[in-house]
Amino acid sequence: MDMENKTVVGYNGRILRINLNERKISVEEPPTDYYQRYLGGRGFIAPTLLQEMSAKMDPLGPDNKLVFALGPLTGMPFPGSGRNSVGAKSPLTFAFGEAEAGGFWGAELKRAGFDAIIVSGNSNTPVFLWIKDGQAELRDASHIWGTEVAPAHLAIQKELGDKHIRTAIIGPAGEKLIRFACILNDITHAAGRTGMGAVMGSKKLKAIAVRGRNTPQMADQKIIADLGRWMAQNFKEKAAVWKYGTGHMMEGYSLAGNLPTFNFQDGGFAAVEKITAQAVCDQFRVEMYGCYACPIRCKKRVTVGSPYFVDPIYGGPEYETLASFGSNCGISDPKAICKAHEICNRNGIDTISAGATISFAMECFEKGLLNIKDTDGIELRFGNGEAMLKMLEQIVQKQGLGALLSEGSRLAAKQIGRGSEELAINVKGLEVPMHDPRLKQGMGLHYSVHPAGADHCSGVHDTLLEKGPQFEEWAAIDVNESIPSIELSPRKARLVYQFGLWRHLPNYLGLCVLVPYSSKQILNAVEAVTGWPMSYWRLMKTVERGITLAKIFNVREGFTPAEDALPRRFGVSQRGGNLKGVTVDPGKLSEAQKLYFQMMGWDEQGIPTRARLVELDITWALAYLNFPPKKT
Amino acid sequence: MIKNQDIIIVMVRSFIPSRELVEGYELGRPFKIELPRGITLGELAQTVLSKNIDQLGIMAVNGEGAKKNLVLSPGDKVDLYALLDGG
Ligand code: SF4
Repeated sequence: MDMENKTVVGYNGRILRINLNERKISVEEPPTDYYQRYLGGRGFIAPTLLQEMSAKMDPLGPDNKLVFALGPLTGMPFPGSGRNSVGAKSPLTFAFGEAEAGGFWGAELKRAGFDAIIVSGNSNTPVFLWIKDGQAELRDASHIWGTEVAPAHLAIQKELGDKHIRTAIIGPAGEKLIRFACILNDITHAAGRTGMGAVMGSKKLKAIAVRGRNTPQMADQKIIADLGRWMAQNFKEKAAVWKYGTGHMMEGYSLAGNLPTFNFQDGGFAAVEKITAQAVCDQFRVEMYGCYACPIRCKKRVTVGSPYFVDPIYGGPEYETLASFGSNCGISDPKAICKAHEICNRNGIDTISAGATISFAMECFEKGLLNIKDTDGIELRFGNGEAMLKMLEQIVQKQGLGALLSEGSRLAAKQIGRGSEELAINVKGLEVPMHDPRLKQGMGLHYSVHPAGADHCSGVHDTLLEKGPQFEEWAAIDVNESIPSIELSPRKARLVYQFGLWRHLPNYLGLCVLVPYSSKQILNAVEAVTGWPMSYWRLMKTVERGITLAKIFNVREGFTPAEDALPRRFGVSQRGGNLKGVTVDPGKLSEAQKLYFQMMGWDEQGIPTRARLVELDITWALAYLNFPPKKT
Repeated sequence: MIKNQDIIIVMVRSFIPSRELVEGYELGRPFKIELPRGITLGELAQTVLSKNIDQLGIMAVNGEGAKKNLVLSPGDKVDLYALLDGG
């Protein structure tokens, strides 16, 4: 295979297609214009799902497409470039579904000669995909079907005789079609949200194993090398995550009212110091480790001896996990949280949705909407770590109440009824991550309007924008006003639109948001890799294109502004603490949503206007909005 | 000459990297610092964080949120948190 035949710099110029119905493998070479227009990551996913799927398809049926997509920066030799996106119609939200993961897999795929993989159809028998240096083959996976994540990963490495092989893999939860199953890169890096693991499981695709040795050329290697050197010298000054990983500031979160507690009834947790990243590191850390080419190494690997053995091969809990199984379940036992994290990675489920669904069930139990019979004798109360772990095991086994909870909080609440819907804290069915919209009101607006549901990875963290070191440079993207975090106003809607486009960008580039690059450095990196002249405007328009196409996907699925709702819980005050009395005002939220729609060029029904599609140069998408076809 | 009664000792924990070397400083760990009596919380933050002061978010004294004009007392436990971001 001629690996030098490239039309675009920084990419491979090749997309791999796998048709599992026919066991057919093919390669496409999209034109340069495709890369320039969509860049990568989420940018590749949205047009693929829109163009190649029809409305109302079963997300767990053969017609769903599963897209793994790299960004231009993925796999380039500098910090933060280990990331890839995964997308499909979500079995959890039935909307546009999407998640990102770090680690090494994405970088390996870039070196193996592809920019994306589009998987269609369902296999009759379990398979895994093996990609090596531009070649791909489907192999039998019957012997590892039903196997947990780490042993399956190790078995693939052994079978192929190379311990440097990277995998994107599902666990038993994905095979069992648990709606919030995830895909794990290299055992511990989860593409967690929106149930992508269940889609992979429905296709009977256990894993994608990758090995590659050719990094695509860059336009200017020196700039990338300099950037890598600069980050290696400066990251300790600029990012505190290197020391304990995410979750090191949970006490500050708790003080501010941003630490979801007791299923979002509160924003501060009295026992927070027991579950912080420091507490976990001090007691259970084995080592810190990281992702491809990144010196920050913000991942903690933990082990616990008793009363539960926690296997260090599954990494350790991030902030989202510490909060979702910790404070939000009222649990102050870090051992139980570490075990919950391990169970999730071992089986392949999203820690945010799993924790938030259990905290929902705990509140149902405490309010008498579930009883001890429903839980098979488990005292599913806030603060009961044993009960939390038992229920988590029931979820991954799809047994008892766990079978219902494995559907996610929204569908579970529908079954339980009797007002339990009010306790299910999700947007479009995607459980709300561990950032409280009562403090971060712009994040709340983002949760509500984002096509994929409540996603914190692309939203605006208002607190960061109250002031801060990067303010001066953000003027370059026309963000130059410090706005209080708890404000929800027209100018906050503008911030969510304007700065939101920038916040989404790393997911189009294949870049980690935790690496403290300035916006100018990011811009320079894209130019250095691709050789294309870049501007903030051009990058942000690319993001807007992606969001708009994802929105059209949802419109085609029948989504209306009624689904852009925040849980009513956020319209009620936390019960105490710093934020007592602060709520998300429904009237202000509605006004901000309308303004956001208008800024995005969407009409009152959330339907992108023809003018905006013309402006974004994606008039082809008009066909999916039932506009009369135009002859030109 | 500064007399002993002009000095107070407080415990500081900073979640913000410190560019200048402050003796005993370790990210996220409490350390002792001697300061002139009458110093405010804001002045302490400036001393500890120096050029990284712009990363400062909320501050707490003895576990309670506090403002920068608060005058510190001997034995106070001060927490300096970075602007709350994602993670
Ligand atoms: S900052 Fe952490 S998550 Fe991001 S690339 Fe580096 S090690 Fe991975």
